[in-house]
Amino acid sequence: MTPPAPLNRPEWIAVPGGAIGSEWLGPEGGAASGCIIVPSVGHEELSMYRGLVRLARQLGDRHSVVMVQHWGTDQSDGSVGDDLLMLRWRTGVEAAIATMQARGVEHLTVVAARLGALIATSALPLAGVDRLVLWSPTSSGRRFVRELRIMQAARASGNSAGLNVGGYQYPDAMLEELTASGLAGRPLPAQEVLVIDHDERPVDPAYIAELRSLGAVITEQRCNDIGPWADRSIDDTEMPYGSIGLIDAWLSRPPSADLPSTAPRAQLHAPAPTSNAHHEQLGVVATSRLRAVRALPPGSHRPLGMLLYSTMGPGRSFVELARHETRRNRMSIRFDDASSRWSPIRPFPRPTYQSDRLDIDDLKQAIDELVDRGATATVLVGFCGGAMALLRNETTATARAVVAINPPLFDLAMNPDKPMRDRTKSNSRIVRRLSYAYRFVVWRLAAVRQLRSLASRGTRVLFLFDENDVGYLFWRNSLARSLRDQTIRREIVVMSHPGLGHNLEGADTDEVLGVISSFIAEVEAVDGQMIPTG
Amino acid sequence: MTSQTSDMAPEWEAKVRAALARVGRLALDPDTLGPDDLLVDAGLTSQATVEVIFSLEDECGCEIDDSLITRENLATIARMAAMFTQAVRM
Repeated sequence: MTPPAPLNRPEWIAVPGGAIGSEWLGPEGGAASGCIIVPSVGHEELSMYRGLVRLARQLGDRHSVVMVQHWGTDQSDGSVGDDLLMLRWRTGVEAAIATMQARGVEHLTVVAARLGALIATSALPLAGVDRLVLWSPTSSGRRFVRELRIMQAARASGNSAGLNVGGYQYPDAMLEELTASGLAGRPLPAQEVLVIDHDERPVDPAYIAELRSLGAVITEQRCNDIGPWADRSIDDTEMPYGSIGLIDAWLSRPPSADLPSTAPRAQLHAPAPTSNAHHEQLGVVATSRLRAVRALPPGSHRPLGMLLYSTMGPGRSFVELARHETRRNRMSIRFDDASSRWSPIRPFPRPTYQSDRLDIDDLKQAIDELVDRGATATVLVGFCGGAMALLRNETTATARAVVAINPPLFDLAMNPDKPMRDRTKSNSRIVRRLSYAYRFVVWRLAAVRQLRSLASRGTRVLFLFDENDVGYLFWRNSLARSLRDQTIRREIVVMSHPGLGHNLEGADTDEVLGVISSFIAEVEAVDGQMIPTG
Repeated sequence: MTSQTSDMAPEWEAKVRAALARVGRLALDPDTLGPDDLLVDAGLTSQATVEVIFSLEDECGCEIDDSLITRENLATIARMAAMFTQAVRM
């Protein structure tokens, strides 16, 4: 007999003023115990994302699991520029807890990482939770902000415009609110608490003492995989397998018999909203069942549908761009390669700067869906390796334009069905030299040929580069001269922008998104003259 | 290597070196570094810098004022020592 497929889906959770995103996992038919995973925010939301998905998948074998997306982060409504952020984040955690209770899950554990621990411990007094895991907890918002300031100051290439760490721009109002945040000082209903810290960032003993004074029975564990996981960039993340094993083992223990049981809970069905304030539906896309967001504004759509794809993970820039275009009545589908961690089908992928056959097949199916939904043509917007997949012939058949952000253009020579062995790291000096020479000739020719082909078919291309990006260096040194005619005719537009890093996060995000939006409008204006839209 | 500031804070220089050895995650012995050698060149990451600063704050029972947290003050052992010397006097 085939075992039932596990529950595995994204859902909106209604909160005051809108909806937050969430990911649900668990055995088919539910489980008696549930885990609410509360992430950190800011640069750690990005760097820790994949580790938390790994944790969710492991716990999801035996528990109902929900991973919360905080207000203003990931796909949720709102902005981190909004006021009362801590209250909104806390309310989101409470809403997730209430949703799980309403679905009949009786034994709840909150697993909260870094700043998520501060958010969760301030939410818990309002909800019944049996156990609490604080994973490298931030003892106070003030300490978190001080960490950020030191990290920014210590960076080799400091940026004086606001506080930007790991490519994430922290709004001033958010920092002020965090600085004033600490433990609420109310008794903890979750009396059993597991605290995991590590040698490099040990938990403040005063924080542990404060938790104990609030009634916590604390088990302390130490695992040194937290630093290498949380402190790296999103495309270079190490998995915290040791910590995940500790959490899983701790949750396998029965609750202490001498602790009071929590009150009985309602057994209600809790329907999830089908869309949020931006007419967006959470779902999956293509046969890989990657997590996707469909923005489907009501009424008739503009003729160009938009597909946004990144291999970099859950940044907010594509969210903002899609919502800007939704307000202009344009439909879109967006998804990213990091969501393949949620996919029960797709294997863990390759480095983010490459694109492969799976990318291209997923994209083709998503483009077909846009056309089926009434788009006469498409605009494709991609980041890094995602942009490379969008530049290939197979995905540009209906494309009027491609916006490629920090694309590693040399990758156009790669065969997505046959990854090439990197011989530039050979021990032989001759092999290394020949390999570099081969790259210079073959990569350059392949890129020039493909970009000329796109231009000749009427597909316009906007390249946006960080000024230090390797793709930009390749463009300037190897391609610009050969594609001069195309750039003069504005079939290919190339722009560089300082600090255009991962996910476009930065002080100038709005300006860069404005450039993309204007480019799309320009393409559509020309397209409207060329193609009858009915 | 000589330093303009190292003679101002020999005690703190030793404490900075000890903190670097304890939580700095450097690939080399901090005692082999000159007081004005750039710590970033020695492999000190931004996260490890946080741990070094917090460790030294715990030791002195003080908290560095935000105005002193600058790229220059975190760049070398001598500058870090001078920063703590200034902080404990404040």
